[in-house]
Amino acid sequence: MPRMIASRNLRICTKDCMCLYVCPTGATDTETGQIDFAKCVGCGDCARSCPNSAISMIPLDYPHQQPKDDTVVQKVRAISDSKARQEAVARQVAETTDDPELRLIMRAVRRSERLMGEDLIRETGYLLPQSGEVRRLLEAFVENPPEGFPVEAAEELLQRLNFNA
Amino acid sequence: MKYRCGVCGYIYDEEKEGVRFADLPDDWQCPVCGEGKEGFEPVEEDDEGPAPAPAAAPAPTASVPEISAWEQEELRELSAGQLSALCSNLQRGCGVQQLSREAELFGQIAGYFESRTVAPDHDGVSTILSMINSDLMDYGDAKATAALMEDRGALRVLTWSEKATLIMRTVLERYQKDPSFLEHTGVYVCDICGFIYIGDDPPEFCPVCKVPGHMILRIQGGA
Repeated sequence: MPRMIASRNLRICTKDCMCLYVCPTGATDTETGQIDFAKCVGCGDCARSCPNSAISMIPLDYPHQQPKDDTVVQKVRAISDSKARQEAVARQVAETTDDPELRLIMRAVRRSERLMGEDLIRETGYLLPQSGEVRRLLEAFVENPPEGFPVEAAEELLQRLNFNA
Repeated sequence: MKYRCGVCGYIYDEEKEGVRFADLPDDWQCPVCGEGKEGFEPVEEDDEGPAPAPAAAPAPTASVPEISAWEQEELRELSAGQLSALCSNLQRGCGVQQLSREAELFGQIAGYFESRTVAPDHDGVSTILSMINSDLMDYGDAKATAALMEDRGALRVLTWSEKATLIMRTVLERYQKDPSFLEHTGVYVCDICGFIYIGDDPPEFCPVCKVPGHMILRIQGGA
């Protein structure tokens, strides 16, 4: 089994098709525009030959999450909590106001708060979907789901993701 | 002589502009983030690099600890809004790895937690502004701790979100003073760091996280 597979960024690809020219297994010879992951052997020839660097090699097994200091986690989480509250306020205002300017600016704030909140919380140890931290989080949801929680979604993720810890 | 915007880092170069900074009108605003003149500082010639690195801390060990009791406790204390952001970020993470089904599933979980998020009692824009001001008092300490512990990832996100938060404050303060400044122009948000931009066309690069302008997306108005 390869340790890496090739992935094409379709926003960058200009269909020079050097990948197709060099690929030893025909994995780039697809209708979807994406690499056929079942055929890719992870050699990296396509990524090296692409004149636009539109292909990158994605590791199949990622390194472990580096240990996080509890105090750093606590401080970053506190700010992400504030962002989530601000997002909830902006969302409610955007959804209820009749004022078009207020709605517009609150939509922007809602989006911005979400993006900042996402980025903050991912740096507390949830950067990688395949990490042990995410596995334990999903397991905790399945074991003790809050009311109405989509348990099947968490179960399917636990089955599908190739966790590294 | 050059002057740097204390909010977004925009450089006003007197030589290039042909107008002395002091001669700009009092209501002149930063073209990128809308900060007023008073928010600019003169740039020293050798002061364009990043801040010096903090003192060395012990190297982190390579081993992976099991989830600590503290962490387990904290996990339960994450709010629905935080869990929604955590899962929508994993959705993005799966998307860039071409794991479309996994992305969809994380999206479902993120949507569930968003539906369970309750807004605190609030007074609209004023409440958001006071929460922003409270955040801005926390960044310095959080950044110092991240630097001390050599957590480059945390330091990066704190640096970016502090800047994006400062810019959001400027935008909201302007809105409070004169809501009409949003008429006949666009509102954009950088899809990577959350930087908000008001103007006809987005800047060529995000002033906060430096991604190209096509990642700075226009927010749609309408009902």
